[in-house]
Formats: sequence, C-alpha cells, structure tokens
Amino acid sequence: MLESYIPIMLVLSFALIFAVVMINLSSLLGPSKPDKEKLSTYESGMEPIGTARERFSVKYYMVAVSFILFDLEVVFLYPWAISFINFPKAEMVYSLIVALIFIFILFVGLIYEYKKGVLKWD
Amino acid sequence: MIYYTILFYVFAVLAVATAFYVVFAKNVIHSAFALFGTLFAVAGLFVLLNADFIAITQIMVYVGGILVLMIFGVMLTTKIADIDIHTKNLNRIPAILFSTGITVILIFILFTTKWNIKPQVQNQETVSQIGKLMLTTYLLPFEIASIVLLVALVGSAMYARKTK
Amino acid sequence: MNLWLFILMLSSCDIRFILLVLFLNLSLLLINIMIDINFYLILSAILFAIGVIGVLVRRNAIIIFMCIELMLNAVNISLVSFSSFLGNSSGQIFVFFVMTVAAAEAAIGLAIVISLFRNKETLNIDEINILKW
Repeated sequence: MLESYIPIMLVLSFALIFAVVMINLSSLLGPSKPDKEKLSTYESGMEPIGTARERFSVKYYMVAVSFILFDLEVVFLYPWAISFINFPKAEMVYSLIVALIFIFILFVGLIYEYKKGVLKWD
Repeated sequence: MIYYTILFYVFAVLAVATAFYVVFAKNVIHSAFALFGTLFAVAGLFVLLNADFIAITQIMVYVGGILVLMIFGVMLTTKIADIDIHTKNLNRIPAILFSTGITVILIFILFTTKWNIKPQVQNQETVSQIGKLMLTTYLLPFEIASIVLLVALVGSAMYARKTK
Repeated sequence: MNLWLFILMLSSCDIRFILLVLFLNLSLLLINIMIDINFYLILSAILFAIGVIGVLVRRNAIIIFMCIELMLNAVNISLVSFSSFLGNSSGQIFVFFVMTVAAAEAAIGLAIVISLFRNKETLNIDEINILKW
C-alpha cells in the first residue's frame, strides 16, 4: 500500500528541495549591488500607486466561495460515479435520479448567484 | 513496517508543531500558512490509515478551498497600513490548564475502553464502497448535504454583496 | 538502554550529550512499538486540545476560525482511524459530511466576518459585542 506512494513522495521532496536550493543559490551566487531604483517596487515599468497591502475586492471572495462549494459537489459525485457501474440495471435509474436531484439543488444556487450578479465583473 | 512507524511520527510531529504555530503566531498570515502544514500532515495520516480518497479530498477541499478562503478573509479585512494584522492573546494559563484537562480525560477514556479491533485490510479500494454506502444507507444525508451547500452559497452571496 | 552507554552518559557531564542519548533511546523505544488505534486517538486528542487553546486564547475572529478547523481535523482523524481499525466504512462517510459542514461554515462565517469588518472596522471579538448586555 505505502509503496505505491513512493513516486508522490519523490515528487514532493524534489519540489521542496528544488525550490529551497534555487532560492538560496540565486541569493548566494548572484552579485548584489542594490541601489534606490532597483529596490523600488517593480510595476511593469510604471510608477507604483499606493501600497501593496490594499484590501481585495469582495468579488475574489465570491469566486472562491463558489469554487469551494462546487468542489464539494464534485467530491460527492465522484464516489457515486465510481460505484454507478457496479449497480444492477434496476438500481441504475434510481441512482441516476438521486444524483440528478443533488445536482439540481446546487444548480438552483448557481442560478441565484447569476441573477444576483455575483458572477459579473464590471 | 518500520517505515510506517517513522512516517506516522513524522506526520504527527509536523501536525502538532504547526498546530501550535497556528495558535501562537503573532501574524495572521503566518498562522494561515502554518495551517497549511497541519492540513497536509493530516492528509498524510489519512494515507497511512488506508483512506486514500479522504486524503485527496482533504487536500482538495481544505488546502485548495478553505485555506484559500481564509487567506482571502485575511486580505479582505486588513487595514491599509499593516498594523492591525497582529493581535494579542490573553488568559493563557487558564486556557492551557483547561485544555490539558480535556486531553487527560480523553486519553484516560481511550485507555480504559476496549476497542473491538479487526485486522486491517491493506490495498483495499475505498471509493466504490463509499459510493455504495452513500446511495443506500446514507442517502438522506447525501441529499441534505446539497441543501447545506445551497444555503451556504445563497447566504454568502447575501452577506458579501456590496450594500448600495 | 545499554549499560556501557549509561555509564558513559553519566560519566560525561555534558548536558547536550545526555540529552542526545536520552532522545535516541526514546526514539528507538518509540519506533519498536506497533502503531495501533490509541496512537491516532491520542494525536487527535492533542490536536483537539490545541484547537481549544486557540479558541480560548486568541481574540482575532479569523484565527478562531482556523482553530475550529483544527478541531474539525482532529475529529476527522479519529473518525478515519475508527473506520480503518474497526473495519467499517461509515466513518469515512462522516468525514465527508464534516468537510461539507466545514466548507459551508467557512464560507458563511468569513462572509459574516467581512461584513462585520465593513461596519465596525475591527476583528477583535471583545469589541464585537452588540448582542451582549
């Protein structure tokens, strides 16, 4: 069981080591001659306006909320989809209806969000 | 088997240490990132417990969703100057005594209970079992979960909308 | 613990060396114990207690949310370990419902926190006391 997780462990440890080594290596090897212009915030060549600590718009928050709730919908539907094939024919229709009810209830929420204008970026 | 034990201790120490950092860090962003470590260690423990689907769900929902939401919450509620992000804490000693008492009671109960332990089945596929149970025994909770999600969606849309 | 190591430990007055030997012996002892259900349940109890400390000690609403998530995670560990050691998949289904409630709670709760912050410009829960009299 645990042997099948060795590739995941390898990838994770490689990512961690790679990131740490690269960040430290660039600060160790690179020449460091800071001046006032270099230390200022880089804003695609323009003069930065305000600070970087500004408050986010609440629209990002609403997108995150929609993401997490529909993410959970997928999590619930995944075991259903896996076990769907193993059901006998008579129960297939039944389980399909059950899942459609589940999807429909969440679809109501999506319609509500759309009508409320939460998904609009103006 | 020795790897299993070592991995358990690694994940357990990681979880407890980062959980302490979540509680006692002065900076809210730091504790959010420490929470990332705790959630990841808990996902590792789920893998050790033969619950692979739960582990993936933990990473998808907690790390990918709830933690991002927490960080958005921090970003949305900081003042323009970065002063209010630090918070003080109080009543340390009574709180630590109280929760130590809770831990001692819980561990006492654990050791005095006789668990009806069955041998663990390795390499077992859990997802289809969960799906079957969800459509038979736990059908009503499965449908009610969608209603909970719907109410959460509607409620957060109501609250977070800009008041005109 | 080996006898000669013990004598060596006592004869050297270096505290770091004594601590190192004690640590190595403790870890050898711990590694040889088989991990059973009690280990997971003790870990879950400890994580739960840390969450309780956080809720009692911190005054920032978002930190209190994080500590509630910690407590929910502790409960999830114990549910999954029951399901794994007692051979019953129901525990894993409970974890899904706990996750659903946690996600809904995070969405609604943080929305409430954000709208509170808009009105009162603070996150300190000692100052958010308009329902208290």
